[in-house]
Amino acid sequence: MSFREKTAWVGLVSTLLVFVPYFLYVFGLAAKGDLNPGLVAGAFVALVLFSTVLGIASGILVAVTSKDEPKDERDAAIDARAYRFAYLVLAALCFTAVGAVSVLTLVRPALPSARVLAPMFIGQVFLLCFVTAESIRYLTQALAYRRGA
Amino acid sequence: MTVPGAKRRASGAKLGNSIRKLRFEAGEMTQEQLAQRVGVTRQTIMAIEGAKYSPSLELAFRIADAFGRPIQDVFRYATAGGTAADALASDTSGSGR
Repeated sequence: MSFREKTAWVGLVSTLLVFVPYFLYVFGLAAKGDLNPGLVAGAFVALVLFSTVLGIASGILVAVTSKDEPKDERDAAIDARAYRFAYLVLAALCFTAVGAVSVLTLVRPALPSARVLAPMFIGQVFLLCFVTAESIRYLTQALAYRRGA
Repeated sequence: MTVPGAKRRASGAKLGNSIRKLRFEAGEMTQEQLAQRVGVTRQTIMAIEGAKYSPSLELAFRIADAFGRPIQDVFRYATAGGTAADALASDTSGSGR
C-alpha cells in the first residue's frame, strides 16, 4: 500500500474514531433534552485533544511503515476528484439541513418539542454535514488509490 | 484487436501504451527507475502502464523522452474505426465540403 493510500485510510479511520463517539454522545444528550453548552464544549475539547493525539500517532505510524513520496499529477487528480465529490455531498447535506430547519420552523407550533430548533443542535447538525463530507473525501481518495486509478 | 495496456474510453476510443515493452527493451528498466527518471511515483507508472490513468501531455512527453522515442511509439489512441489519425483525417475531409 502506497504512502498516500495509507494516509487516506488512516484519515478516514481517525475521523470515524473521533467523531462517531462524539456525535453519539452529543445527539444522545439532545434526545434526553440535556444539550447544554457546557457538556457540548467539554465533549468538543475532548474531541480536539483526542484528535490531536491520534493525528500525531497515526502520522508517525504511516511515516514509519512507508516511504513519503512527493505528490505528483495523479495524486493531484485524485485529490481534485475527492474534493469535488465531497463538495457535492457537503452542498447536498447543507441544503437538506437548511430546508429541514426552514420546514421545522414553519411547523414549530405543531412540534411536540422545539429541541431540534435549538441553535446548539443545529450547529451540531452542520458539523455532522462537514464531517460526513470529510469522510467521503478520505474514502474517495482511498478507493481511487485502491483501484489504481 | 486487443491492444495491450489499453483502456476503452467513453467515446469508444482506446488509449493504449507500450511502456511495458519499452521498459523490457531498455534493459528491464524497473517501474521505480522510470518513475524516478520522469519525476512521478511508481504507483503512477503502474497506473499509466495498466491504462488506468491517462497522463498529462507533459508527462507523456517525459516518458517518451526517457525511452528516447517519439511519443507515438509510446502512446496510441485508437478509435473504433481505426487510429485517431484516421478519424482526424475523415473529420478534416468532411469539414472541407
